[in-house]
Amino acid sequence: MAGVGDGPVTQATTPAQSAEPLAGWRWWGGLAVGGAVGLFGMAGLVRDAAKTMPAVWLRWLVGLLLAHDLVLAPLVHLVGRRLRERVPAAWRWPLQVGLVVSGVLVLASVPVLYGVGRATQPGNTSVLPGDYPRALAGVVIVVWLGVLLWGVRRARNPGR
Amino acid sequence: MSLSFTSKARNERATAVLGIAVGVLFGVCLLTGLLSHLIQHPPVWFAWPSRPAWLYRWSQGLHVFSGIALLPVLLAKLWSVYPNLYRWPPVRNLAHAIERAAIVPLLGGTLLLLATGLMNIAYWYGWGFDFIATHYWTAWIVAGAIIVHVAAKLPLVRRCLTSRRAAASDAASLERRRFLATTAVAAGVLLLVTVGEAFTPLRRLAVLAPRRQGVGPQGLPVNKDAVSAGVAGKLADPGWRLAVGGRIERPAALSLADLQARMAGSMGHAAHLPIACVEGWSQEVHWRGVRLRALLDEVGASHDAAVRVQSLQRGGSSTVVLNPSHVRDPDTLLALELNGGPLHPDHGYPVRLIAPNNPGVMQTKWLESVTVL
Repeated sequence: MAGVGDGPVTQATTPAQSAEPLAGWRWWGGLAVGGAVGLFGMAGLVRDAAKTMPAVWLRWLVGLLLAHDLVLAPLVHLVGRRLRERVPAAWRWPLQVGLVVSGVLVLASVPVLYGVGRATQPGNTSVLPGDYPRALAGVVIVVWLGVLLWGVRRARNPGR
Repeated sequence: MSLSFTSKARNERATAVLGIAVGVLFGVCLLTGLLSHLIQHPPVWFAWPSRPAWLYRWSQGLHVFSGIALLPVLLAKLWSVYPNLYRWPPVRNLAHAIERAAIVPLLGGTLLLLATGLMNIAYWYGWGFDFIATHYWTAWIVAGAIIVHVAAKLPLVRRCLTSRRAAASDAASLERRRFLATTAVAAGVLLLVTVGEAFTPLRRLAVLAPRRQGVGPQGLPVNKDAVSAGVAGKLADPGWRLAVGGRIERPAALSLADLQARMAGSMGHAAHLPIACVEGWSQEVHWRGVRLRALLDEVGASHDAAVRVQSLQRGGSSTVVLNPSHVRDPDTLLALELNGGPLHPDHGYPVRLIAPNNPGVMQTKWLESVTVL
């Protein structure tokens, strides 16, 4: 996503951001307790390094963060803006639901769609037993049929 | 290209509601995950009871499906605060720097937990590290980061949910409600097409779940088949005996015929019990076999003893220790039959353990020995 973050950030609305400074016993106490719990986890991760492979772990953690911040979030942002600018009001919400539901279904289904799990036990037919591409297509079609009916109804009855 | 954030749905109140939802779902995930860990690796102060028989099934189902529901809710939460990533100046003071730094393990860790969890239940081990250890320690790291985050944001959440100022305009309020409803619908649809691998009333809808209730030998899914476990060649051995030993008066070596004779007599028992896999799928089926406690009576063992059960399988989950609560339970069986027929090799032929309220990984298959501790 080239260009993200280059331009000025204008804020029509206010995302959650505390104006007050972080202070008081709740904040510092929470920091102490949370810090201790987090360090306990870090210590365990490092002590178990033969299993957890911290360098590989870190690559995954940072990779997933970047995939969200630099790919998924800007993509959703651009699609959302297009939706607000180009789509008639009655169709905006139905299209939003259709896109979000489809996107979430695809994301959550990547492991079963990819299907490498079957190779771990070639003789075990109960592992990933479905025809997942077809099942996903079926569910998404049902979702979009609903979106279509809902959108038509909203467009015909603007008061709703 | 300028990155301008114009959606009216993006406001403090939406973020507060989604933050609470993420916190609740993650909390359920964390507690049920820790419980499952304690059950499988019990410290001396912890003894998991055999009753109620459905508890582990529900607990682990909640773990996996609250994690699945977390995916859309977390993404919506992140969408609502995404402009903050580009706020200037990035940090205002030390406390603010700490608070923002804690978001790296908070968010990266949560995404890692979700990704590895979703991949693991589909048997996709494409990361290199060990799943259990990494998932476990990452959960502690994220839990710590969440405590820090809550400490920083709680005053803001409280203000957003109590003050009327947050619901500034009707248009923004409407957009916010639609956005939250869209998120709820996404989570609902995702659950609807997966949860049936555990929740029997919805089993026909589980078209995107990695397991299906009723699909597998004898109508039950198999976690690990006999060939993959390396036991397939040992199951037809006519010299097979179940060794019963340890702190007992009369050690025994029982053939399959010996066990069948006991099942037909007063030691026999049938029970409806679920297999509840740590991966979230579960199914209740009908078992028949020999009561473990009756067999222990026969060989002269104490009822208050723990029992170690060993499989013909080597490594992995081949050994399990049952605490006295499970040993004494009248439904704990050395099972020979499943759904009215002899156990399929993949379900643990010639004999397997089945106990109420234990994870599937502790329901040892292909038994070799029973040792009273």
